[in-house]
Amino acid sequence: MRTVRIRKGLVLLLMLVLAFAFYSLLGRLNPNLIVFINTFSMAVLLAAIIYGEIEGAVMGTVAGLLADAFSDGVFGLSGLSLTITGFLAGWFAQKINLNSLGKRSVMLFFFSLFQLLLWVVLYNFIFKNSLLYSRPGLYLQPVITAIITSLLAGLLRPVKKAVD
Amino acid sequence: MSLSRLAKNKYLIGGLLLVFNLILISVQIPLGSKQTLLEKLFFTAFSPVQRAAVSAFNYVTQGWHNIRSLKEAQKENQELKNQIFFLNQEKELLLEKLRLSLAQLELEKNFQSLESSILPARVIGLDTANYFRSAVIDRGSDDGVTKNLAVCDRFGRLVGKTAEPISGQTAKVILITSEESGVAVISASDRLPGILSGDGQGKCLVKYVMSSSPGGVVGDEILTSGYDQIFPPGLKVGRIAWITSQAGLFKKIVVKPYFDFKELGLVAVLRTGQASKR
Repeated sequence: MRTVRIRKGLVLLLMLVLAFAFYSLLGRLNPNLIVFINTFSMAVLLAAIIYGEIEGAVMGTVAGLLADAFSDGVFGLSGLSLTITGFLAGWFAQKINLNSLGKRSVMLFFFSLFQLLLWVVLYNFIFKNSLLYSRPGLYLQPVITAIITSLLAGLLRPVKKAVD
Repeated sequence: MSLSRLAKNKYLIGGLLLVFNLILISVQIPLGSKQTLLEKLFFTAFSPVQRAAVSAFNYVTQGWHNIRSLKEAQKENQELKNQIFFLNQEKELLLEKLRLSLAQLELEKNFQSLESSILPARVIGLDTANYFRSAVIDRGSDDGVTKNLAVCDRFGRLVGKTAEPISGQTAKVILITSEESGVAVISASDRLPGILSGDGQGKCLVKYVMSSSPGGVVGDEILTSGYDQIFPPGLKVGRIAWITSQAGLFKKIVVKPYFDFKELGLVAVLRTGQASKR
């Protein structure tokens, strides 16, 4: 039981490190890409649909705080939005069958959109500055994040089976 | 209920995580831009990952580029050799002219201080929330980086200043396009002073210029004035894009900064800024 937990923890840590490395590479390639693709949200949604609500929420907190640490905003803002999203996505993923790519993509789109809206609302509330005006690319973020996450979840399923 | 049963209650854990984030936000907001220990811990722990990812990417792209352009590199190398030859000649001539006007000891001292004052650095990350606000560079306290040092792009145009958190090998840079930044500036032609701050959307604003003030011309160059004791005077910042003075006590002077995000690979940290002298 303990070995399984340690293994799961290491997989989640690896996902987080990869998400962060991928975010760094996107910023290096073109700063606009980090507006379109939210790698932290991808890691949280993946953890949530693969493992469940607790893992989704924990991943949400850690990934969100990591995103906040590399931002000049309020520490805890992304943490809050990603924790709620991770928990709800994990809870919802246990209730429905997510084997089909289409169904999975739609569900991920809604949760990605939910996370973005929650974050934008909190950001606007604190900074009095609407990011949806200054960076319209954000509107596309849920679609792109959902498609990539859905494809990754399909690819990771056999990997998870092998690891387990 | 036993502790192990409580630990298995997913709603309880979810709720605790939620409360934890809310506590962090309520602690952070009164602190403003000051970082908490946990934020510094995250920054220090994960900045090597960022550094490694960008270095690996640079290594791969550089290798690929080298393979593809080996022939061009040879040609370029020859041209550069020629350029170095002429530049060396030019340098010798200039040195000779300088020797005529300055004492030898003073000359060497000047060169030494200039050489050690510029610290080249690579931008390895941009702000995760709004990339107009901050960036991360691959130089930190091990290289002598402290907070409030001016950071310029490779053409010597002002990009921002270093800020906390600063780890051993990485540091955060608050960009001039951030709402949090403040730079004492002056216009080049009519010497109009003001405080330059970002709008968080890629432009800057010169604040606190009275509507009745006659200064300010569209297209005029904006330079650092040095009055803030942080940025050395004379650094190029940008050009005035437009001015409106219809409503309110102050003019709205919008400045388009010179530096380009897409060319923000290599930057220079000025270690002999006024802040470091204090």
